[in-house]
Amino acid sequence: MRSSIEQLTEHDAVLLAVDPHESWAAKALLHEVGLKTDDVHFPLLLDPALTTSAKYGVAFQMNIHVEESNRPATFIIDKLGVLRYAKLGESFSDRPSVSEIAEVLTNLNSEWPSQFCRFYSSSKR
Amino acid sequence: MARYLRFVMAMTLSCLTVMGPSSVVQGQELVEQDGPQKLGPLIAQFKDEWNRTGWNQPPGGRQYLRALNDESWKARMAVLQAAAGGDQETVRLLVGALADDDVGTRVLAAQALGYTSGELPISPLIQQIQQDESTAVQLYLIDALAMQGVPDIAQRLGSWQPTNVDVRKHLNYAKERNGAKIETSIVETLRNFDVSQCGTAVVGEPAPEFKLQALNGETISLEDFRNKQAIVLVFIYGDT
Repeated sequence: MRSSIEQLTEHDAVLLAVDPHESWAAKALLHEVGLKTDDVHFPLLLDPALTTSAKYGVAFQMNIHVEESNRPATFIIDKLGVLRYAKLGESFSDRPSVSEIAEVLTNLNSEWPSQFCRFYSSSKR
Repeated sequence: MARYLRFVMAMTLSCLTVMGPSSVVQGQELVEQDGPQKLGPLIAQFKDEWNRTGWNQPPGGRQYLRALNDESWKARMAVLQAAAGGDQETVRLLVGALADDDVGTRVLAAQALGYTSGELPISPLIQQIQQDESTAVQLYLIDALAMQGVPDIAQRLGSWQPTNVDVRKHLNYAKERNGAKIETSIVETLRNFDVSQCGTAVVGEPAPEFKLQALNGETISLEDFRNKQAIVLVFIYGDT
């Protein structure tokens, strides 16, 4: 996980994880797998109101641990705040590989200057 | 130019007279429909949609993951939003729904109770945990009591022990939070949520805004990264 985070930094990207629980449950779950809060090297965002999960269309889509929890999903948002990639998982472990994410990010970065100019000129109008 | 301005003024005034009073009336109707009045029909709609899609079946009787084109989950969000911050009448309605034959409706009512602001009838809910055959109802009722700051839930359950490992875990979470109520900001966020925003993440369009508290207490929003870094946003289900 650590090395994949370093890879993201090289691509000028940040990894954010979203957990639909309150902090008590999130901490207990980390504890359960033998981790402390400090061991998590990326921001673990909590969405106990479920509103972000609902906006991104992943809420209540998977039954796990007796809960109606979030569908596993990965989104990539560019520097302008535009959603550029969405992968909605179709099983517990259906996640894009690190190399797949890296490829999307590489493409974003190669487009970035021209895209920024387009945005800038349209917003100045 | 002056004539144009007069025209604009006249239009604005006529709009005000037409729109003004009626929008106030609409506003009142909305307020009146807030909470319980709105909640009953939303629960009925939830029950219909979850039955139609087979999601009211207990796990094992259905797939564990929804089809990508199944949007009935939105009906659950609508109920939770309507129940958030609800008063005693909301609590009464949800407690009533706990008597439903339909398991999915009972699970939903149990979950929604956690976000209400009325006082929960503790003893009847403890009894329901002990008697309900659905482990999901047990789990969400334990969560609801814990979210409402009820201390010593395990003690109140007496000799009753959960048979399900996940229900046991949630009983431990309840112990860990030790009577701390759900933060008002969480309830307010859900209460103020516009349910038409459900499922609005579309590739090629602006990503839905978010502003969330991280486990380390830091608040992080989509805006923080604008013009700085791209974001890889990974939704986990709480089992990393």
